[in-house]
Amino acid sequence: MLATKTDTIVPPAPGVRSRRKKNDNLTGYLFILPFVIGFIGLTLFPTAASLYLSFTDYNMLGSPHWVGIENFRQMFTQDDKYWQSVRVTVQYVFTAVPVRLVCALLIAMLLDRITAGAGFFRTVLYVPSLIGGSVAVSVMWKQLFSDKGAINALLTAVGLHPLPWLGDPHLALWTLVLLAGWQFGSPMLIFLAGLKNIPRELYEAAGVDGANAWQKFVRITLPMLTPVILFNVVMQVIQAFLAFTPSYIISNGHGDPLDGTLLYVLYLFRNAFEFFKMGYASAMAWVLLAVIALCTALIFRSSSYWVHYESESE
Amino acid sequence: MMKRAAQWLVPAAVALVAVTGCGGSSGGTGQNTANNGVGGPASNGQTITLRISWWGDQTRANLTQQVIDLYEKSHPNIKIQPEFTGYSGYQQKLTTEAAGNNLPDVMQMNYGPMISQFSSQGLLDDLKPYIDSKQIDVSKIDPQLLGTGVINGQQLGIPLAENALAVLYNPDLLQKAGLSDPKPDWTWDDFIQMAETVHQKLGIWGARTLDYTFTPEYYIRQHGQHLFSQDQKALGYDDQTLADYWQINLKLIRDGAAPTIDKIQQIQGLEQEPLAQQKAAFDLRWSNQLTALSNNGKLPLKLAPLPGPDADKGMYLKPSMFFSISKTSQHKAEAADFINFFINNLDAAKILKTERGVPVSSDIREQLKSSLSPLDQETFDYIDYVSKHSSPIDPDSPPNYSQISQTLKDVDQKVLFGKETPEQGAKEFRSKAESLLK
Repeated sequence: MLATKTDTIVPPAPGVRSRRKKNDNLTGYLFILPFVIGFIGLTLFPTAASLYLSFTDYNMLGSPHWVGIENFRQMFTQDDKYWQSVRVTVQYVFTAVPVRLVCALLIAMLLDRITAGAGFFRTVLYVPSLIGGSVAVSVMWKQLFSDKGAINALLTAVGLHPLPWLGDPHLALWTLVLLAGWQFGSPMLIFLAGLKNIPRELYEAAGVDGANAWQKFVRITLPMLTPVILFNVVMQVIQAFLAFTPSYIISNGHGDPLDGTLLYVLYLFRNAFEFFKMGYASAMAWVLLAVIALCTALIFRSSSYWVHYESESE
Repeated sequence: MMKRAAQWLVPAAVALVAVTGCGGSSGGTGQNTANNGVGGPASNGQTITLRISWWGDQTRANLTQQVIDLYEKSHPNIKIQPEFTGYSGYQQKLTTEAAGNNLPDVMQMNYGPMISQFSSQGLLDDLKPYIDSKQIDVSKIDPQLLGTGVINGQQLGIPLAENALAVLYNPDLLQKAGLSDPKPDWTWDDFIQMAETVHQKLGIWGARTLDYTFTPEYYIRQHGQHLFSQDQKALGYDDQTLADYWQINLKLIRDGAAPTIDKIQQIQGLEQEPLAQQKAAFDLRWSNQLTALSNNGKLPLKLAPLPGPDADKGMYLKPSMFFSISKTSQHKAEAADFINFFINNLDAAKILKTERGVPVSSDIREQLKSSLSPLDQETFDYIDYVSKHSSPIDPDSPPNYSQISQTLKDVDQKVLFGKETPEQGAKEFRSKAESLLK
């Protein structure tokens, strides 16, 4: 307080300035302190602990017992349920991500055309993404696809056979994929922003050259959107690997039927909290981390072949 | 940034719980065993909060809450904080609380894997001192039933009620199909034939598909074998016996007399069960589920013993659940007093009726007899019958029981979905279960 007062009257001596700088830094650190505490206490420390636990046998009640790489060995060589969860998850990632992105892009292109009420539609279409991950929506989804639910009623109404959506091991995962597709909001907004950034002249020029709508889409829209697509793909792939709530609710918490919806994180959760194998679950978490990192790296590596940056061509 | 955050999220979430676990265990459980040993409930005017935890549905929650209110009225210095969840999340909740050194004072425990898991970690208090000092009066409980709460020589749980496996059936539907009620000495052949008759005559299911959780074990027991060997380190039956069990289930499904497994998968809650919806005449369950499935007596369901031959060997009485006191409880004397109230107080018993099963105290049973509803009367009579026609319950306490049970469920689904023959299923279960038993 005193320092500031002298500041205004006389030009500060060099020492004063540096002290003031130090004060500024201190203030800054104080401001980020809550985050730093949270990061260390809730992220860094638990992460380090889970790394340690992944090499132990730990049932949460006793104390952890060092077993070296035994958890990983068991996971890769003995646990066929683990591989089933990997299969289900890969299938889910490879279907849910494209379904969601295609939905998002289509809706974004429609919204791009609309001028009246665009804000309203944007908001309404974003709502599923806000609530889609919640327990309530998963419960609703389960009702919709149940034996006598709305979807089967619709199928019957148009003369088709009702399907055992949640009872058939192959169909059950598709209800999760559809749920994921329905939550297209955030990639949609990003696509929309990307679409708005495409210069209109490109379309006009193409129009003059006689290009039809499809040609414009393939030759202009898609290439110009590739940076945005890259971003969305990376984000959605990560999210898909981490999907948990819907499969937990829809499959009664078990990955039913016949482990058809046993997503990786669900199996991880079951190991931790149902079989009380916290060490094994931690090991699974670290493998998942490595796989996600690898996938992200591969997508980035591949991007030089298909992502088009405007600045390069100039 | 978001990407990185997402990558760390899972391990962080898992580890978070794990870390609190480390803290809890290093803090040491069982420090408080010396405090509050045996002595009368505190009466120094201080208000004491007791935490009581159980699993169950809303009906159980309402009834238990009424008993709690009753207890609080006569014990103004005790405030009871109830905690309840459904069965599926119950053990997770308790385990997390145990890891955080924060177990409730009184916990509902299940016979078998649950109580063995908690006792093996030394989390439950020995209740013998409270029994000896008559704070918990067990003189009216059948000693054999009380003995089911003894693990490694310690009385770790007090049984709250008694239960048995039963065939729940709808006599009206049987009559419509021209059948009479099942006789106590009926066999699986009778069961199949009656179920198929109901299906053919009435166009509904005959029976609900048999459930893997207890029916295979009953079938194995009635053939003079056991699911686990005496030392709990191996399986105790022939593969052919388990395969034969699956043949019964498959025959019912194939003939349309029982729902296919994908239909079973879609049942959400007891009220959607075929028996509750009058879409099936038979269902094999625990006897205390009669209350829920008959919609509290609105549907005139009855109980019959499971089909024979040798049903006596297969049937057993089960303590439907225990109350245990955690070792870390600060108010053990009060907790013991509450348990005593729960099993020996007539007014409490009048509220609880048979929702948890038949009361354990013979005095209470006698006093309730005059005021029983037809539904409770049915349960009382049935448990009475079973107590004379059954064999002792199996210990069923291998350390990896929850995973073994999961394995049986997986194989059961494979067999019922037709992915494996019963013989292949029995073989697969054996190889997987045996590696978990070692």
